[in-house]
Amino acid sequence: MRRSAGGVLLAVALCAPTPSYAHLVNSGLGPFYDGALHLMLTPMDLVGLVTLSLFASSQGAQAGRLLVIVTPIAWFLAGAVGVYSQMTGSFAIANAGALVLLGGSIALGLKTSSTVAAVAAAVFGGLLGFQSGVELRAADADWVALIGTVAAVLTVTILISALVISYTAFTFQVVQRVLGSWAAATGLLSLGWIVGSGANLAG
Amino acid sequence: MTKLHVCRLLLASGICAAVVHFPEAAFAHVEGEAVSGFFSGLSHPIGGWDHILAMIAVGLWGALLGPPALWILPIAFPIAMAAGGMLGLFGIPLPWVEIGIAVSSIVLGLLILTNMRLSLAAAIPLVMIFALFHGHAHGTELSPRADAVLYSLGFVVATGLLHMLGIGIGAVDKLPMGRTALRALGGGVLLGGTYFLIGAFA
Repeated sequence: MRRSAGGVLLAVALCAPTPSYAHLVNSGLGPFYDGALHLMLTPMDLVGLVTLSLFASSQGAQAGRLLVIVTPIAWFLAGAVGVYSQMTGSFAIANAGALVLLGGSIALGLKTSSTVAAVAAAVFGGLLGFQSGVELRAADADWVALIGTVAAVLTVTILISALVISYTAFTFQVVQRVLGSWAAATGLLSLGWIVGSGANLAG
Repeated sequence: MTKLHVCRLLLASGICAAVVHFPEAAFAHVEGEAVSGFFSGLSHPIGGWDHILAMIAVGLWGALLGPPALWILPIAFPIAMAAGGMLGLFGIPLPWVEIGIAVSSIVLGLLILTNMRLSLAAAIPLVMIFALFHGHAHGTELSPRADAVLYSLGFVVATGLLHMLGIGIGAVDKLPMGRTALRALGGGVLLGGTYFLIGAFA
């Protein structure tokens, strides 16, 4: 009974509607670069992607490799659903919750298997990708912009995983954990905002 | 730690202070809403000296305690502060918030002044309890806005930078007479906290 109630609450929370962030910045270089720029100018997507990349890469080289492969694919597939279907919805609470979980794990220095890291990359990457796709559709952008966004996602994941896996110095690990705590704190505050005041997390 | 390291840390502290006090207006025409959201969040924790004093004191105490407290305290504080902020945003009341904030400065100042070395198991919960009060006070002041993530990020980054400022100042501990100077700073924090406590009761 409690589980069912929890499930219903979780479903309601995940589907809590918030307005979409529906415009593309015009880079002047065409839709591919507009899409790439869209990622860089969408805070939730970028903060989420950086946190996910830090989390997965800190699990080791194998997890880092899986991150670089899985995240862009999940982002593209879910993004395509967002662009070409009529599905709408925002997962603001789920996004903030993921920030808390992933950021908290980084801050605590928790270690897990590369499989778990890959699943996190698929789920959170897909979630962010779907939202990104919905936003692209709302901005009348097409698959070229989506490819641009995915290229930016690939670039960010490669850069972060390369940094995290290469630099094993203790100081850098501390920096990662501090960044993780900042991500978790941002997620907690955002959760408070969404649930407490119904603000829009997408912006 | 050499003098060069200390100088670098002090320089980093200066940069932290400069970033925290960065003028928001300078970005008024560049993606205005998003940038202003970040800088509004960045400027919120520095809106009151009671908060500034306690956050710098956490860094100072961490510097005095040394590793691992040096970096664990600044990791624990923002998370607990955000949890307190979340309670505030939910409208869940927390008793004696203003008193708790003032007491945080008094206790941290006293710990620095007396060079008291608590164990990590005691230091982390203590700092987290203080952070809850600070976060709750902020949470109740925040109004609904569109750019929640950027605002939250700016808010958290400012807190982290204030800790780093404290850690940077705490580097004087390695200089001759540095420990005395650091303890004197602790005394200053204690006095500041006392002033805020009197204000809380007034």
